[in-house]
Amino acid sequence: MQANRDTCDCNRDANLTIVGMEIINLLAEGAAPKLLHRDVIRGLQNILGDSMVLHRPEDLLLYEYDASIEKGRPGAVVFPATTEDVSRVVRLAAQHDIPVIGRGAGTGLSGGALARTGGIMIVFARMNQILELDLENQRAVVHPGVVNYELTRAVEHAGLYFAPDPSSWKSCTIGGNVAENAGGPHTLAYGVTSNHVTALELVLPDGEICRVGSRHGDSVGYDLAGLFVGSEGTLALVTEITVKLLRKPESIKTLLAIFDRVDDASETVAEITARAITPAACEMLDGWTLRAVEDFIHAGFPLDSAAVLLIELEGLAEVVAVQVAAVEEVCREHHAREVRVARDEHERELLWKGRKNAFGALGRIAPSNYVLDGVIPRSKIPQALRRIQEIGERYNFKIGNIFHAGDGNLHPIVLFDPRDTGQYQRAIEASAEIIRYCVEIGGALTGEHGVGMEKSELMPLLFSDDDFDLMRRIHDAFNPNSALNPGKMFPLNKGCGEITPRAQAAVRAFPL
Amino acid sequence: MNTTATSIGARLESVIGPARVNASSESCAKFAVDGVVPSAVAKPVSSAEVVEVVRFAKSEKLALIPCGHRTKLAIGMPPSRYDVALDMTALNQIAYYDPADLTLSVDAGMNLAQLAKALAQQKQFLPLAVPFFDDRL
Repeated sequence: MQANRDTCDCNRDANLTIVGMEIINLLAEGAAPKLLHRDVIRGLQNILGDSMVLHRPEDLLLYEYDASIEKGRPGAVVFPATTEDVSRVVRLAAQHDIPVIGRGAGTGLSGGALARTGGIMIVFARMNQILELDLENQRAVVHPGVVNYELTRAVEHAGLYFAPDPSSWKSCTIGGNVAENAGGPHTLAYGVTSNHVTALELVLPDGEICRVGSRHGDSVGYDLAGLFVGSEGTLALVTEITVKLLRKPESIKTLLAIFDRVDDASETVAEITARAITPAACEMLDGWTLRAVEDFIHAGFPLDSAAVLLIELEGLAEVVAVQVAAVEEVCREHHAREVRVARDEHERELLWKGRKNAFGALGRIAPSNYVLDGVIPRSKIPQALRRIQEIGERYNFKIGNIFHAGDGNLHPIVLFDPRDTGQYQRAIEASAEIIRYCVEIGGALTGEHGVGMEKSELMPLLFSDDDFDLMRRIHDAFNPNSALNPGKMFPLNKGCGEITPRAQAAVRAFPL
Repeated sequence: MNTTATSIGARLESVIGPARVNASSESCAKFAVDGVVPSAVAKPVSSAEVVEVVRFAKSEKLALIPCGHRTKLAIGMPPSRYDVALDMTALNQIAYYDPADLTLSVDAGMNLAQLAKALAQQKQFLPLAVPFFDDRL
C-alpha cells in the first residue's frame, strides 16, 4: 500500500529490523490499517502526551488480536488515565468522524474489542484503580481496567468476593466483563455480570459524561445500567463501574466425578437438576480434552476416562453436607467410576486450575483453536454432544468439549491450523453448523462470549427483522452514527446465517 | 356515560369483538386509577389481540393502561390521561416449562400464587418476594 504524504506512517528509516521489514511486507500485502491523518495523531498526543499514543504499524500489530480468531487493526491506540481523557479523545474522534473502540485486556473470544473498520482504540490499561471499597454495604467502585481477580483479592480479607469468574479472570478486566456481559463457571448459581453491576459512569459518542443506575437497590425508572451491560461497546464507553460483592459461603465442596461414558456424565447433570439441587458450578470436560489438560496441568484427571464432571456445592455447612451426599449418589447411579471430593483448598485449586487453563493447554497440541460458545437446554446435552462429534468427523476436525454443563453453555473447541486457508474456512463452517444446531434445539448462539465480529452474521438465526429494528433503534438512540465499535453485533450482510469470507484477510496476514 | 365513551367501546368492539370489550360504567369504575376512570376495558385473550388493541390505541391517539389483577394499581401518580384499560388477566397460561432445564415462560397475566403452585410440584420456586403475593380478584 502506498502511504499518503499526509498520513502518519511508520519511520521508513534504514534501521528497520528484519521483523520490522516483515511487518511492512505484511502491510503491503493488503492488511494495512486505515492510517489516521497526521492532525488526528497530533491531536491525540496533545490530549494524552506522546507516549500514550501508539500509531506506528509495528506498534499497532499487537492490538489487531484478541483471544478469538478474528482480526481488525486500529489506526491508533491510546491510553487515557481519566474519564475526562476518554471524553476528550471521543470528542476529537467525533470531530474527524473516526470510530472509537474500547478495549480491556483483549481476552475476549468474539472479536468485540477489535477495530473492525479501523479507528482509534481506547485501551483502559491505565484506568486500573479500585476507586472505593464499601465493605459494609458490599459494594466496590472500580475503573474499567481493573483486572477481575484483583478485585476479589482486594476484598477477600473481609470474606467477600466478586462473583463473575470467566476463565480469563486473572487477566481480563471488569470493563470488558461489563461490555460482553461475561459469565464463568459460577454463573450457574450467581448469574452473569449484569446481575452484579448496579451503576455505571459512561462516555457517550459525543463525549458527554453521564451516570446510570444507582449504587443500592434497583434504579427508579428504566434499567439503563442493565441496558449498557452486554452492549459490547456499541452504545457508550464505560469509565467507572459499581459492582456488588458477595459474601463467601461458609462451606465449599468440590467434587470430581469420573465417567467411562460421556452420556452417563451428561445424564448426571440433568438428574442433579431434577433433584432440585443447584450446584454453584457444574463443569464437564470430555476425555480427549482432559488428557490434553492433564499432560500440562497435572490436576489429577484420570487419563483413561471418557468424561469428568467438576461439581461445586456451597452454602451452609449442613446443607452442603447433605447435597454432597445426594450428588455422589446421583453420580454413582449413573455409573461414575469414582467420585473424589477435594480434601483441602490446595486440591480444590488444582481441580479448578485444570478447568480454567484448559484452553491454554490445548495451545500445546494445535497451532490454533477456536473456542465456540453456544447454549442449549441442559436436558439436551447428550444429543448435542453426539451431534458435535458427528460434525467434527464430517469436517475432519478434532473437537474437544469443555463447558458449563450445569447451565447448558457449551464450549466446543475446534483445533486447526490457521496457516492452511482451507482449514481456516472449514473451521468456521463447522463452527457455524454447531451454533446453528444449538439454536435449532431451542438454545442460543452465545452464552457469555458475546456476538462481536464472530457471530454478527449468525444473528438472523435467532432474531427477526422486527427484533433488529428494535435493537437498531436502541443503538441509534445512543450511537446514531455508529461512531462506537462499528461492525459488531448487527449482521453486515442481509442473509440468513450465511458465513461471509471475512476470514480471508486475516488468513493472509497470519505470519507463516 | 357520554357518547365519546360509548364510541370508544364500540370501535374497540369492531377491532377485537364484543366479547372482549366492556364499556359499562360499572366495569370501567373497577379499573379506575386514583379516581381517573377509563372509557372502556379491553380483555384480549391472545398476544395477537393485544397487538390489535395497541394499534387501535395508537391510531386513535388513546391512552392505555395495561393491568393484571389490579392489586396495587393505585401506587404511583394519577394518570394525566386514561382512555382504555388493557386487562391482561385472560393471558394466564404457562407458555413453556421445562423443569429439568429450570426454565419457564408465562403469559403476562399469570397469577403468581397459581404459578407458585405449579412450580412447587417440581420442588422449584420463583425467587421474587412480591408483596401481597396471594392477592387476586
